[in-house]
Amino acid sequence: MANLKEIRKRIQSVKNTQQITSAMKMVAAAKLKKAQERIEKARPYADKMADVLGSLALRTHQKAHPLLMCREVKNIALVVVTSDRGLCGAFNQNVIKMAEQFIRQNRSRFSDMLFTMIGKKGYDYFKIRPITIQREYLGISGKISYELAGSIAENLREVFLSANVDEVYILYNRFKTTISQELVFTRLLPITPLEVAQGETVPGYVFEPSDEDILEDIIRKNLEVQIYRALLESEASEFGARMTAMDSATSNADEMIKKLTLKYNRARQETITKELMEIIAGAEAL
Amino acid sequence: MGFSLEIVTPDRLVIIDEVEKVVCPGAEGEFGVLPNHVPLITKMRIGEVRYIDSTMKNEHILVVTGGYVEVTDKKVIVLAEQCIRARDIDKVQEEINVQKAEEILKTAEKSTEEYLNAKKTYDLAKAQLKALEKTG
Repeated sequence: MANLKEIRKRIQSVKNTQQITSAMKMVAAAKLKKAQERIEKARPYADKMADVLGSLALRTHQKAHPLLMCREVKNIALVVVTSDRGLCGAFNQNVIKMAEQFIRQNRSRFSDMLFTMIGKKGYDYFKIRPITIQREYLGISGKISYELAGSIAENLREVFLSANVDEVYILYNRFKTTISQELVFTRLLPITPLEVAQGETVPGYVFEPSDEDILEDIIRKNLEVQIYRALLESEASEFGARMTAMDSATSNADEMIKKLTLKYNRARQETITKELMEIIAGAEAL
Repeated sequence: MGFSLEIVTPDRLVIIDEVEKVVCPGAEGEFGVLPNHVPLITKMRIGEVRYIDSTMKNEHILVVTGGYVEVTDKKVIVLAEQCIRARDIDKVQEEINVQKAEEILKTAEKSTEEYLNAKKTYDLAKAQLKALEKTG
């Protein structure tokens, strides 16, 4: 028979944990609301910008700007976006797993892979593994700004332009709903042209004022906008995942408390019965 | 036959509409777009975007503060930095802004940050007041 005191102690500790998880759930829910608003506002612009750039890459000769140039792919760079903190279900694991899989499959294809780690979780996992991390951005939770995206973009531009890498990819969680995220793996550089039906001819652009002026500006801006979007997507996903994880942790705790209480009551009854039996037996003996 | 017009700013989708004609403040001057315009991409300066929608044939005026316009055969995409609808313009506030900016422009040295910011405020406020006059 389980010790009454032990059971009581366990119930109390589960209750304490539950308090924490339900508080975390509430915090995540509040943060999620803000993050969701932010990403939903930023999406139309980022989408349209990507459309315009796709069309631009299609209609412009790739020699017109270095960031449109498709070179023979020898080295690549990969930006991996994770969160700084855990307790958010499979949120980080999904990203890490996919990155690992990518590394395994492509190790022989490229001579070098440079990694940019955004978020502590991804960094902690990969820093002890045999890959090259060229830059990491840690502790950015709640501090996502357009300036931060700008500095990440600047770094990637440099890496790409110095010809250290021939392609730049980004891997992040896209926010779908509170309970679901979707992994996105997409190419940032060079800009991917829109696809057209075969045989269709696409007329080139007229640039005003001049193509150099516009290309330099808009490509730089696009890179920043796309990175900013990825950061916001990931942030909203993180809070969604944490809220869901904490919600199920809270209800699991509920379940556990119920079971333990039942067990406790049974044990208590058992003790009383036993004591009664002892008294009756004692009385009979007299 | 109209074409579609999409205006977005970094913080929202302003409109998606079927339109007959659009006029944009291009860097090289205002230009109009009718169906089957030649593909074009350009920067914008502070100014008005005017369009006539296909269903009601009404003219709409919006004030934008720079960004880009892409024109293709089926679509016009306006990537604006800021966008204010004519009906959301606060006349009194903008008149105050014009005055404040004018004072700064008089005293501040040219090409300092202060001067440039004031110039921007001034242009934006002026553009809004002009748009208001047109809509009445």
